[in-house]
Amino acid sequence: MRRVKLLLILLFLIILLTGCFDKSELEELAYVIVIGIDKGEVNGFEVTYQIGNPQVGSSDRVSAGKEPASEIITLTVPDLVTVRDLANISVSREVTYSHLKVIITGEELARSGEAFKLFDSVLRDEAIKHEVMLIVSKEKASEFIRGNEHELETRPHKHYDFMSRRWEETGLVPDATLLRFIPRTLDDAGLFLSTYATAKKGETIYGYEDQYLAGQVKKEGGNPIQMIGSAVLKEGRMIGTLNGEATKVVMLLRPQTVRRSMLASYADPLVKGQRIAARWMKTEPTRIKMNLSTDIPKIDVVVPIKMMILAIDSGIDYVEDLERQKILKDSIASSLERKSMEVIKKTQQEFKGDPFQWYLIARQQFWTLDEYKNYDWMKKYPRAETNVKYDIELTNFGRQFRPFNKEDIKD
Amino acid sequence: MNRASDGWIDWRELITMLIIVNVIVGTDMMPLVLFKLGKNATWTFPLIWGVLIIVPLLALHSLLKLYRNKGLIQIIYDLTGNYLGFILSGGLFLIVFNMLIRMSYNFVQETSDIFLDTTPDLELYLLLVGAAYFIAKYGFETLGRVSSLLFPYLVAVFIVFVALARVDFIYQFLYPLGGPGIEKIIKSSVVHIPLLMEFILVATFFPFVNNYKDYRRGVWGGLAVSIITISLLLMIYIVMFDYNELQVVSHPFNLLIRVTGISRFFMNFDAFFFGFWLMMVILRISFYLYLNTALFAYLLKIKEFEPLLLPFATLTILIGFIPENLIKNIRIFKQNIFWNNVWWLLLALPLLLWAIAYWKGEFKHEKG
Repeated sequence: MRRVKLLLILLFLIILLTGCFDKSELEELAYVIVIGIDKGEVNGFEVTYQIGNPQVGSSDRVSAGKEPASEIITLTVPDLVTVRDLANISVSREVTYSHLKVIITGEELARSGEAFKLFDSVLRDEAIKHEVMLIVSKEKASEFIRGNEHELETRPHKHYDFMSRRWEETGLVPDATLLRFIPRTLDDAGLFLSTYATAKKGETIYGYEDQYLAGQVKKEGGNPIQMIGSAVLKEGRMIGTLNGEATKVVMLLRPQTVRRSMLASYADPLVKGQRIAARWMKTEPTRIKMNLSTDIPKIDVVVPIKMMILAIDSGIDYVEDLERQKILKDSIASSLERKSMEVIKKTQQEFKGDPFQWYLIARQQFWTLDEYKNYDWMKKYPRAETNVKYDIELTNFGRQFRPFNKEDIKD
Repeated sequence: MNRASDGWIDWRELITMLIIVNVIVGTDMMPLVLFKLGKNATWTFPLIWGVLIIVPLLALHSLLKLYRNKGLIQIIYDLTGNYLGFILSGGLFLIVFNMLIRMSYNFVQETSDIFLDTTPDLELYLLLVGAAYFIAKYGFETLGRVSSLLFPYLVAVFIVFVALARVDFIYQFLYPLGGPGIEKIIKSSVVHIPLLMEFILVATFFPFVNNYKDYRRGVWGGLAVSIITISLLLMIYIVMFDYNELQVVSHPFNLLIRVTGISRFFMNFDAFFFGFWLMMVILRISFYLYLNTALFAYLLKIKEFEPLLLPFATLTILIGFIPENLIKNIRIFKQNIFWNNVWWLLLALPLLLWAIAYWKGEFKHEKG
């Protein structure tokens, strides 16, 4: 028995071997947090690194003095891997991707479709995790990275970490990671939505809270970046954009359960021009039924959402009056249904592909892969007849039932 | 007659050893080969193997029960005589030696590709095979003990692993359920049945096991747990990455442990799993090294075979270094006429032996 124990100890000791040849001191590594990719001026790619400084924000801050939280460099190279060594012409540490958080592609490169080839090297380089976020920036990626002034979270990884956590909730941008991008592109059945962002102010428009695309929101102060809406990628090539509202709708129509809580406002059904603010949550998966027996697929979608009323501008009591509750529910449902149909129409006519991951449901209708491949969801989807219904439950009214009575205040 | 001097192993040690040794095939290069054939229905492969191997195993077990203290090689010699026996046992030895070299080289490559990029292969090879040699040197009993001591931790780690990975699963990736079609699934899975060959070849060590009941329990239990675990692992790959990507990725297991992490605090969690994976790999190499040496010794009727372990370990490293890269390694050691015929040999051998025994009237003998 002693012998066995000794052997076990020896076995565990083997783990320590990692410290022999491939040992790397934390201090000697340069952690790339963000990679930006653009088309090179002549050929190749312009790769931008944002390298985090681990000392900033730690208890070791004192010895770091006035070092910046990150360093940004741009190099022109043929791929994403060899750039690591080239970076050492100015970076003193060994470049590692093990803490990479975000890959940002400039819109120009994304539209050319060449970015997908680059991901081959990403797959080969084992250090890059599949959970890397994908962002498409309106301007060049290098300009976006330089324009991103996240002053409250000085360290870049924290900035992107926090932002991605909020996105999961708000639904204004899709949750775009490599983990989902590669299968969807390879399966060639659906569109991939990638986060759309910009650090430049564009033409501002005025819309309701989510009807913007990055750059269109009127905003004063703070970090100049705006990330809202999504870039639509078909077969690895960017073909268009969806604004925040459309992105939200896409997220709602996708089959998986998402525990989101989103804030949104809707037109008051009884008083024109007034809005009602609500928080919705989607706790159950979207119910999708398909009939693929004919050449034109028929899709029935029911989206169950739970709603909580947060503000009633008009002061009409929608809470204690059951009939008005029904009017409100119907009006919200029909406005959501209208919006959904608009988005579906846009994807069918403009993008000719399905961003809703309905191909996953379509897969369930077939017995073998050949049958599914022959059906060719990408070709069939644009002609599909869809029917979207929202199943709304008004579950909460916040801390107040009836709105203030404006007449009372006037007297 | 051939009882090992330092004691026997019981069913717990046998079952854990077989599970550890077998399940690891789900984490090396094998899934790549399987996914090319089985697409999104690859997870059914292990179940098909399990069904197919039932009859040969039953035949083999009835023989072992009949001969009591004899291992597989002695039974082959007894039943088929010296010439045919030598050819059959020699064949088995070559299969296992082939497997040992290919497998150890694969693991070396995998380790260096993914975790230790700049470490020389020789060093890794020496350490992996060296560690395996030290375990094998202490004998079959120690191999069993180490497995049974390690097993609870491995189960715990596996559960943690599945629980962590679960968040990203998309179960619809399993559809269409038929995959490439039932005919193709069965055809392509049968050829890969040698992945379960430990369950047949472990009969070589029958004399090292307490008694027939323990042996039977260990093998059947190990088989059931193994095929379910491998199937589960393949299923996890599919629901995580979809089959398209899996047809290109060389080491899906390592991709998977990279994706798992605890919340946002422990994002790079893979080194934790790597440690346990490495221990399992060493146990597998150790088992095969021991099996290989034992087969060689029984083949030439050498009584003391443990001194032969060191030469075989060295030989493994030397031959393993001949191929230049993984693909060449697979071409040389796997895709040849010899290996292409292993699957039916493994299925047919126990049946053949049983038929000979039946024809010779050995079973009647037992009854009378």
